[in-house]
Amino acid sequence: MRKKILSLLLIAALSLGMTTGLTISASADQLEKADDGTAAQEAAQERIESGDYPTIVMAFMTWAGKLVGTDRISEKISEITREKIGVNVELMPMDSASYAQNMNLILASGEQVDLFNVVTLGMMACVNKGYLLDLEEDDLLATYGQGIIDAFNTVELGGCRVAGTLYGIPVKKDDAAGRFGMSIPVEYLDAIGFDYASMYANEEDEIIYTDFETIEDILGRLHEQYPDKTTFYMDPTSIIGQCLLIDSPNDNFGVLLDPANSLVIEDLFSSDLYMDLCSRMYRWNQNGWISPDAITETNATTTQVKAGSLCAYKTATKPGIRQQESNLCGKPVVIFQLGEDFKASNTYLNMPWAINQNCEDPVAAMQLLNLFYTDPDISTLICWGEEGKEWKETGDGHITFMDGVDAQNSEYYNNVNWQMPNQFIARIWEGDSLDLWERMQAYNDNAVTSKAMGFTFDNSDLAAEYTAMTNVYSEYSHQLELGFLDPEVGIPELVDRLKAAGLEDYMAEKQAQLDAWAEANGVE
Amino acid sequence: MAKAHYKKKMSPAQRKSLMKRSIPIYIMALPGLIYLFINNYMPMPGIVLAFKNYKAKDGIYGSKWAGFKNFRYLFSTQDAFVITRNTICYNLVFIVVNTFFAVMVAIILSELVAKIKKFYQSVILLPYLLSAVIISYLVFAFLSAENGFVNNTILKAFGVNPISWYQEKKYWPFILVFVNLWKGIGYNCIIYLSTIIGIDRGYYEAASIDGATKWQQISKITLPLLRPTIIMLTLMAVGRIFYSDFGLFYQVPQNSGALFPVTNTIDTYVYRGLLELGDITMSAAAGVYQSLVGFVLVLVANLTVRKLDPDSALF
Repeated sequence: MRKKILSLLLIAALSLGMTTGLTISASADQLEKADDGTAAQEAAQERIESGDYPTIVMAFMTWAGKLVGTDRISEKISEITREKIGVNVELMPMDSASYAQNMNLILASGEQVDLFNVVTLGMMACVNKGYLLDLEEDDLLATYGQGIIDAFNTVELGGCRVAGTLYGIPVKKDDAAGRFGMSIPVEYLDAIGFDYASMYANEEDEIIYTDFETIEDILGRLHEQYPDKTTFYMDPTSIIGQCLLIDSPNDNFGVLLDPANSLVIEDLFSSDLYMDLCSRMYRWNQNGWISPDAITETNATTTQVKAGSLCAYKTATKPGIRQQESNLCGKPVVIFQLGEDFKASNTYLNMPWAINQNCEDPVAAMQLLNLFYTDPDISTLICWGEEGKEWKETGDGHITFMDGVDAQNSEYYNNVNWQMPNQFIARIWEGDSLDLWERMQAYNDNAVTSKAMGFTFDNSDLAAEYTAMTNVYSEYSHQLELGFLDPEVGIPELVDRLKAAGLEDYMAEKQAQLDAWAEANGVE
Repeated sequence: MAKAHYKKKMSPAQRKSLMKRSIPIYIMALPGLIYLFINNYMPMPGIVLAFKNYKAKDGIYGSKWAGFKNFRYLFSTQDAFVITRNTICYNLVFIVVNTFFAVMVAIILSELVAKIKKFYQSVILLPYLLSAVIISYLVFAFLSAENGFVNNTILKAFGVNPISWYQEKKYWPFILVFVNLWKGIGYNCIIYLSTIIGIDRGYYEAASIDGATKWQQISKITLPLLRPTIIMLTLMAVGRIFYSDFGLFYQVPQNSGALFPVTNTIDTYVYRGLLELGDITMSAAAGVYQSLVGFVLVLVANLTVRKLDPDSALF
């Protein structure tokens, strides 16, 4: 009998192999009540005098996990923050591959992370799961985050609201993205004798605005010149987002095809825009410009260029892009751009900084965040590391690697400054112009802006449709968008299956939420 | 055979002494049982998550009930049939093919001289220890359209045109079964091998004196004695029939869309769908669904075995 019971238990255990984290302690602590303008100073003073400094854990995503210098930088930042606001800082960088997963576990299990970047987690998902603290509860932001308020205009902060509530603070970065940029190393253009130098509209420009005819001419000649290299490749996960001037609230299932002027949700996949893109790629593929292994390619575009196996790739553009891509490729590149600069509705919601609802000391967290937006020394430390260890002065106002240090062996070179609260006040790296951030601000201000700026779509009631459509789309996306499948055949198939998976209901819901949002925000 | 031993009535004194003698064995089992308890039993209350509308603020038990809403996505789609079919059919084929070859390899290994046996056993076990990501790249080295071994060496030698392996779904059921076999066989045959080694050599000596051939020895002695082990391992595998080896179905086909009709299983479907949603209640729902069906299947399979051959049933 005992044996029977034991084996029954064994089977039950084998069958019910559940792996769910269980330790949840989710009681949000009461926020301290703010009283007047000096509350911030008083709170800081109180902590400094007590000598009992709370440690604020700050999580963000990196490409290589936790670099060896991270703890040293945490301590360096803490030296400043202890003095200014009586807080210790612990940086907690996590690898991009597991960031979302780890953060979800941490947030669900109540482990300590006070401040974190929402990148790859999805703002809407975090809000729905109740992970985020309302930053304006008890006037938290107004009382302890004055520097943050000063760093943004109301559109920018407003763009971060979800259903009227402010759950995150956007990062200072390029808010627009130039659609369909094309990066090609100088040496290859020289080899085919292509005169790009005369194509810059202004001498100080870094981007050449051109058309598909020119690009196709270049690609054809590159293919002839370098038959053993792949002529063109683009990362298949970002094709729609970086090539087409459309606005995709939350996902591509129902988009604004004319986002600057219209608030009508339409089906992207039956549009001419999508057909044109896929037809072009199909043609390029037929020309032999795209590698037969493109679908299974796992190396980043820039890695392939660095290795000398790729001639041209697509990138989103922004001020500083030429320097960025040249660094990544290890050789100077020329940037062409085929589309316009566009500011999508979710631009401020992509990667805001948020406070965990589980945070024990929201006041200290907010004051620390405030410091990250206002203190150039702290911003430089978290962006570039420590002077004398990672970087040195060049003498002309820039900074650069210490002697003997490079991107590979640096103890703190994360390459994720776009995720840091305020890179605009950090030091400028050699190679970028000293007025980079002024140009960035102008660029942000001049880009085509979506009418739906600040709208977020909540799909939690349509999760079944979303899951089904995502599966259908991922079956076709890479084949169509890298030109392996004839779009005349593939697109109608894709559209039929998406409709069967509930595309129309999904779009109707999106339109309804968008209309409600427009009415509430007075958008025509 | 072995069962008869337990069915004999024992006096209390006999039972006591048996218990005493078993104590060291129970102690040996303790770490495994503790592990089982921590890893498999303690999280079980988490099943309620599948029926909740989870909010971190309210905690697991404080969150509102959602009924079966979290399960809806698993059934309400046109893909539900494809993913269920793929999951079950692959697993059935795996069970048959893997058992057949594992028993065969175990018998062959048992006939080898000890020294060579060790060597072969280690060599065929090695793939089992590799991660699915590494295996996917080994496969890719063979099947890459541009630089792969198959296209550039084998097919070239026969003058066949290169094949875009990752776009042609018709080959993949075979590739996946083969890769799974190659990866798992070293591990699968271990238990069979240890059972064979445990068989009393006296049977074989008696058989060979009576003039039995090698084949007769295998089919009349080894296989019948292996039968309880085969049935037990198959029952265990049946319990996991609703699960799929995620690495095999996601990494090895390189997540290529063209192959989804033959590579999408319940696990990969859930993963792709929830990757961006990150909804733990929906993934908990998938886990509960897979577990319950697996549990029921084990009970049914065991019941069938008990009807046909009571001695071999697991419980």
